[in-house]
Amino acid sequence: MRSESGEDRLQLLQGTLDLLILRTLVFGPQHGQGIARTIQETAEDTLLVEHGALYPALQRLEDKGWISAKWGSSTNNRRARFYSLTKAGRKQLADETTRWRRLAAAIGRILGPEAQEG
Amino acid sequence: MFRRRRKPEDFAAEIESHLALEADRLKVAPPVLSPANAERAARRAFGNPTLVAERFYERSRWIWLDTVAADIRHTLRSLRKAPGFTVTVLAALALSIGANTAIFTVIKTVLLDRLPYPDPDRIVNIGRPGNDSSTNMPRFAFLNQNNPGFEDLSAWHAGASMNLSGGDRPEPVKVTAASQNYFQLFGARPILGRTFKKIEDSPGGPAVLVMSYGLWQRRFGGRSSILGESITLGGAPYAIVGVLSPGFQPYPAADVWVPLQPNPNSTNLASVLTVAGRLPPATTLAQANSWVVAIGKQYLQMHPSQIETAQKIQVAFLQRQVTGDVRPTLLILMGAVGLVLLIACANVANLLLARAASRQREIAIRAAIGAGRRRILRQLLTESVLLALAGGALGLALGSWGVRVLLALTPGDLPRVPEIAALPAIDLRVAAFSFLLSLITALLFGLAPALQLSRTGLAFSLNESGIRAGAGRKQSRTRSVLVAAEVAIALVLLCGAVLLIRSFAAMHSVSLGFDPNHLLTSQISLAGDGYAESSRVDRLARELVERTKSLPGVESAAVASALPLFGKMDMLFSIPGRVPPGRLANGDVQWRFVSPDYFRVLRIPLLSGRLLQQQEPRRTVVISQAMARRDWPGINPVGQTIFIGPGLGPAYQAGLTQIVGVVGDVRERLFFDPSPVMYQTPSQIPDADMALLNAYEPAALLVRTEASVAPISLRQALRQVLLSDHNLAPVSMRTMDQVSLDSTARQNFNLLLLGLFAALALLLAVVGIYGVMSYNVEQRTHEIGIRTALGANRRDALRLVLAQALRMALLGIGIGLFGAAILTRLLAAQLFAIRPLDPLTFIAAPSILLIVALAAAFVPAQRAARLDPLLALRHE
Repeated sequence: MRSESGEDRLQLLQGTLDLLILRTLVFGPQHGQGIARTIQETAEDTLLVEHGALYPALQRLEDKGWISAKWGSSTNNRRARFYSLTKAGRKQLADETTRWRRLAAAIGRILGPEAQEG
Repeated sequence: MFRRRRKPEDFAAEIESHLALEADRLKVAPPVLSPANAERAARRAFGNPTLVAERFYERSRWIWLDTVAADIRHTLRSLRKAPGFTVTVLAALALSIGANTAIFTVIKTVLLDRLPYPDPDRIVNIGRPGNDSSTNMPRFAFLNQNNPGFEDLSAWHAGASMNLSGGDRPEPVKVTAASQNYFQLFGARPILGRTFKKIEDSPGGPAVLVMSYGLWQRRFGGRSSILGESITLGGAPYAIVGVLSPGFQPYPAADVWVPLQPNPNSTNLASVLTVAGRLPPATTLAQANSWVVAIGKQYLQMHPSQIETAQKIQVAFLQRQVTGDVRPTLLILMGAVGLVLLIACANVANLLLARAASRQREIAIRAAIGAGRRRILRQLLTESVLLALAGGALGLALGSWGVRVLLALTPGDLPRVPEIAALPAIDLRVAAFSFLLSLITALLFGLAPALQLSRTGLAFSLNESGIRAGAGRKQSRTRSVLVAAEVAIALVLLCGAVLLIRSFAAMHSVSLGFDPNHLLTSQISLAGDGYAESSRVDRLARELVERTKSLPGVESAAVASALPLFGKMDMLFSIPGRVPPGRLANGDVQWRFVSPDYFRVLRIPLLSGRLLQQQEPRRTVVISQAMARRDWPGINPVGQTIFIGPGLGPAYQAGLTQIVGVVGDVRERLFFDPSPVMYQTPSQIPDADMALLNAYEPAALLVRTEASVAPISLRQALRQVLLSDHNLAPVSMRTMDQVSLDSTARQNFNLLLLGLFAALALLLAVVGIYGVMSYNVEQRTHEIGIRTALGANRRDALRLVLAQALRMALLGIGIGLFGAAILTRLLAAQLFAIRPLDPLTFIAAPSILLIVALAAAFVPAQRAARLDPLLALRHE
């Protein structure tokens, strides 16, 4: 049931979807489809995000109080549920971003310079 | 997670809006898609909306309760639609859980529950090792005087029942002679009056008694004015001083207590006293044992002549003592019902699998519309749990009824029966046991079918012919294995039952040494002061025999100190000139007083010398062949002299006695070889021994009727003789056949229960085999149709099905024989003259199972043989 052209896309690491959602919402409130699109386009289609997978994550973040939601109107006048970062969400994003950078740097050091890779 | 934050409709709206927004985007962004394509692409990008909705739903609701409620509703609906299945499953579960509950109730009360007395964990028994842990009066008196620290140290003698007369008619009552502390030790409080005073429990003290609440209500109508009144017990008057409270469960069972009046100067060495006390707090059994050993040494130093009767005394917990020898029996029965439960589980699993086959489409559809495997598994397990709980509830009810039946069947020697009878209808621990058992059962029988079913491939099942080709065969293998397991377990139980039946038959076909036909017996209580003198017993015996012989239909009659097969009393003797150095006696043999006609009444053959006479010229004894062989090997002992009672107090010695005859051996217990016996006439027994014999076991009146008269028809006449002429109440009046049957009561009980469980197991196995074979025939209708169409005849079809059943049965029998060979060893102690690996049993039991298995398969096999090939081929 995966989307058809999945082979050359990267699967998301566990827990990274939350970070991506939080990051996307830094630019202001956004609805689910908007978030999905933003992630997909910013990552230039290298990431595989099934849109449906977004919603359990959104629900989880909302439960944790990192984002809040309310119904509003989209640019083309459709009703949509808009999500925005809460104060706790901003703090979480900052923490997670730091953590992720350190992790990525550490893994990068271990793997060595890109050129050496076959 | 327990709050409902968002309504599912709200979430659904959000997803709708997502899909719409995505489609909007795809319609305008390059490459531009047509509206229909855009919508499809949006859906594709989204993934599975149902799954997402389900995950939302599971996160945000009381998902557990919600789906459980739905599962239960669904299960109830589907069970209602299959009443045959439901009833069969519930019956199998109720019967097996019920049997387990009943046996567990007994085990819980008898083995697990603490004794119903204060600080039961500290109550210890002090006496000889073994089940009949007793000691004698001088030893108790010595221990009592030098008590190293036991609290409430007390002794009691639970004798034969005594004749309670006064009032309208005599009746036998169970009497315990107890020392003063007895009531303190067991926390027995009087509801009326008091228990014994010190002075009453001293030698020569007044004759008083305390009675149970039950006797007080039954015989005295609960009158509070009975205090101080005098009643006649064993021919002597006793003043009533108290009535015990109704909650007291006496150990040993008794209705009347009289003071033991322990005498430190007693020379009574008969080991008839039970001694018990409470360990001081923080004292170990080992410490108490060292106390007792030290005291034993001290005692022997002071009484060197008692080396002969010196007993190894040990301290053991009373709980262990009370339940000691029924433990193995009860554990074997628990094991047996456990096996029955396993068979029931296999059976129900089988039925579930059969049902599963017809539900594969339903499951497949549910999977197709989005139910996850876990969800389906849960639904199936809900069904199992629900069935098991319903079965468990029925089983609990059946079990509490079963316990009543069990109690009615129980041999007299099962301990703590009143406590079991006093259990409330629903005991919490028993209910908890049944509940747990139900849940375990549900897992056992539900998991395999559920796993198999939830794995069902979608395409396979939706496509009908798929079932026939593949899944069916795999299932059929699981089912065959289950049936083989049932057969195996049933065989183990059957082997056990057959062994017990063989043992029973062997026991009751053994030669008793006397002729038990046409004998009516009555036990009579001569305990108490009324018959404490030998001359009075002698006179009673003569009068009873004369009077009885005059009854029409009576051929001959005799009186004896005990019924054959029930004697307990033994006696020391020595052979002058042949006593081993450092000892006082040559041996210890059964000792009975009998009226002279005893041997003629029982038809015990005289082997040498003469029988006893009414008037003996001097002290004489007749001995049994076993004693002659053991103590006078190769010599005729007639004319020899022995000394009866060496090392005992003078009052208990019968002195030098001449052997005048040797008679044939009689079994003292059905399952033991005949033991050596000495017989004397009542008038030759010393008074002190007579009192002891009478207190210890009820005497017996034995009546041989004419061959044309049924012994039982004389009951009324005999009762009349005892009551009206001598004011004696018969303790129990039975034919000798009945006596012999009762003498193996415990074995009969085991046989009955194990037989019942084996029958239940067999029944369940038959249902299992029948079910599987019916199902297989149904499944193979098509195949059989093709075979028949191609020229196979009816016999081939019959053979096809029977061969399959035979394979299953043989597999089960193979495994079962192996299991039985291991498990029947546990029965070894219960068997008489039969080895646990008895070849006949190991041929008979499998044969029975094989026949039953084939018979169960025969009905479906015939159905297969009668199939019309045309109809069969259309069957799909």
